Amino acid sequence: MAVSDWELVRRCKQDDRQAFQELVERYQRKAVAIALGMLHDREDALEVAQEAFTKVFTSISKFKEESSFYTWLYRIIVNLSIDRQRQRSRRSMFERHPSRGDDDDDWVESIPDTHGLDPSDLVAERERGQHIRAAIDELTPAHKAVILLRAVEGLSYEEISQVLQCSRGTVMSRLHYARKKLQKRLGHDL
Amino acid sequence: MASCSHPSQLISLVYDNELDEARRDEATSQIADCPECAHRLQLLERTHETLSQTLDEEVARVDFSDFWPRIEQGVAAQPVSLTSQWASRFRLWRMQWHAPFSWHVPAWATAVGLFLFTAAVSTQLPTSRGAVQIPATKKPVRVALNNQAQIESLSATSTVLVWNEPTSNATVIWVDEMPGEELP
Ligand SMILES: [Zn+2]
Repeated sequence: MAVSDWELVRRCKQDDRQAFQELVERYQRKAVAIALGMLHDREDALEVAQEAFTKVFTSISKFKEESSFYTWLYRIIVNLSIDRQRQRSRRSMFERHPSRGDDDDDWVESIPDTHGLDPSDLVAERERGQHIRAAIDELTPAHKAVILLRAVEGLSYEEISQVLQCSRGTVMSRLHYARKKLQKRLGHDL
Repeated sequence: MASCSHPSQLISLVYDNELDEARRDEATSQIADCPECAHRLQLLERTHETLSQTLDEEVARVDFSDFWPRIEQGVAAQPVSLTSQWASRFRLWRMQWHAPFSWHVPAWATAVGLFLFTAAVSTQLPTSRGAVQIPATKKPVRVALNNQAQIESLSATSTVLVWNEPTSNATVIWVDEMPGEELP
């Protein structure tokens, strides 16, 4: 049986690096998924996720087991992502972000398995991917966070309210708005 | 499509599994026969599927081989403060013992302990009546219990007398560097 998060956290508090590594490996994909959803940049997302885990380790003694470990981790990631986005928009006032282009070259390699796909299907798939990504990017950080935590991580309203430190009602209204906006923007792509 | 009177929040609550069993059953039966609600529910499902699929694909392209080593480096580069180390050890100790007490209990225990210790020490101290009075002019060199070697070395140059005080049960060693003076 897998060791519980709580047990790994307890061992981390005793400076057990192996327990920490286990926590990192358990949550690295989820952590990067949130950061990627928030930032739409692989390098930035990896840096933010790594910074979040480093913060987790250095402040693990302050973590109280009142909430689950992952809501704490996700809160750090969301906050760091928002900070990163602010820095990026300040920077982009002077220069364009080098790893992002309007063409979104990422999507050329983003098509998962191109074998057996018709070239016109490939183009359609690429365009659909661009539309989805653009629709996510148009959301505000608060709306992005709420929809990512619900749709990608599968968190409950209560857990999302813990991550975002807001009321359950705010979670519901933000979620409602984010879904409506995405559906309106995506239309036929859904 | 004919517009329905069901609030869209209800569909969200059903889809997100945020209703208790009784309310969920009620809501499900309400929207079951409504084509517009069925459409909204489908739309919600597709929105979530699209999002999670998009993110899954993006994460699948991420190379995680360097992920842990970089965190390990980051952690190693962090300065560790001694106070936070001790604070975390103390918290851990409290956590392990489930701390069935609060802060004022150890504080009271320390205060009572100190009081008992002070009381015990003060009752053991010799009173002025029982103490051996040594005249200032006699210049006593040292008082020790059964230190034979010390007594022998002193008796080579001075007059040394050893006796037992019956009231305090202490051995007194009298050393007088000027022989012939009157003894106490
Ligand atoms: Zn309806």
